[in-house]
Amino acid sequence: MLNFILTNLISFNYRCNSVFDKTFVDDLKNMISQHNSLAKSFKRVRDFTHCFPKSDFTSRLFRNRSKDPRVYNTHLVDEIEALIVGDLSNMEPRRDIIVKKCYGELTRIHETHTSFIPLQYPLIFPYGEDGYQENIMLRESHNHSQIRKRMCVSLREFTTFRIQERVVEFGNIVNARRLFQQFVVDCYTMIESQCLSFIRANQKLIRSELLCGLEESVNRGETNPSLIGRRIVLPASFTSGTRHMFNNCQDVMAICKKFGYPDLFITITCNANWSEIRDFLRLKGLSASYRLDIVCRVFKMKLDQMMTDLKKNNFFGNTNVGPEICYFII
Amino acid sequence: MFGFTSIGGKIDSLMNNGCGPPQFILNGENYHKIGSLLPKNGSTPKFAQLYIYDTKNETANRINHFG
Repeated sequence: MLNFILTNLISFNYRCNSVFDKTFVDDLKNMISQHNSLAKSFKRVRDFTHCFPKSDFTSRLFRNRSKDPRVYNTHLVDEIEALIVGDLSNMEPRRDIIVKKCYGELTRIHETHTSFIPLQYPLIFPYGEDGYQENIMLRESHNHSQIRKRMCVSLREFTTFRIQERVVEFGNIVNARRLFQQFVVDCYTMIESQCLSFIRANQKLIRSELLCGLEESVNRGETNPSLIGRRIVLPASFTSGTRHMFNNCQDVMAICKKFGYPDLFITITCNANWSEIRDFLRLKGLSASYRLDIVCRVFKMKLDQMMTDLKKNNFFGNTNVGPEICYFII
Repeated sequence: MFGFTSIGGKIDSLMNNGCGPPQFILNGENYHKIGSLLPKNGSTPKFAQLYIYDTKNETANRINHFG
């Protein structure tokens, strides 16, 4: 595996005037074209265009594999992609990616497509490894206490699984520096957009007609409902939404009413020079900004420890049950 | 440089001016988009098209995007 020095330059849309090392780009290009199955499938398209330059064709990237990709991990090009010659207007694409031969506009990819992330980050996934799939089952051992509603791994769980450091793998993801930052942001937006599309599709479940004030207006006897309410209501469970913030605010008021005003207002900030973070990163030769996962984890551990000190170890004497309001400034 | 798709959100690179740690700021809805297999007449190849179109000068085409 080649080093990720170049990712410094190529990961962000950077206005850099530095000259690229041509041989290095060449090496990376050769590596990708030799090993990456997605690149191979596009190379196949290239060969096809050389043979039949006039024909009209479309490439279809499949969403699901016939075999389990985590058992048979060297997938063939045929499993990923099919070249279809001729007219496709009556084909139902479902959620596969359809790439047309020559078309001015860009097509949007659904975020749960298994090649969504490997298509964007061939340097992190050099073999074109599969990303998230919706049908990965949870293991039986998680099942013991009660009957689970959800039997499949969620996108969030999958992502957190991928961004761990392991002895058995080199750590393409976590050592990718700026590309890692971009990757994390990208994955988070994937999770959030999946969450939002769930809310959009399940408005009945959250009883949106109650929330958006439709019933009250009917009770008031209004006959023209087109002015009231909104199309989609974000429930209070959606973090950082308006209802979530409002609920938090109301909770704080209620707590103050019951227990009195707070005696302490503690703000804890994270310091990237904490020895725990520094010692870990010194071994890797990275700076703290490239390993945000470690920074966040250390911060959470310290925060938890502080809360135990205050509540269980009675650092300031006995405490009433107080609110745990915490401001993150990183 | 090697990605097959284009990232859709608005990337804010104003903060990456050399002071402070590098950040990745993304505004708006994020989505990935894929282009067609071949570029339209006269336009330069982008993203996945680099793997298909004009592969003799592939490295040069890739570097030119950042020139």
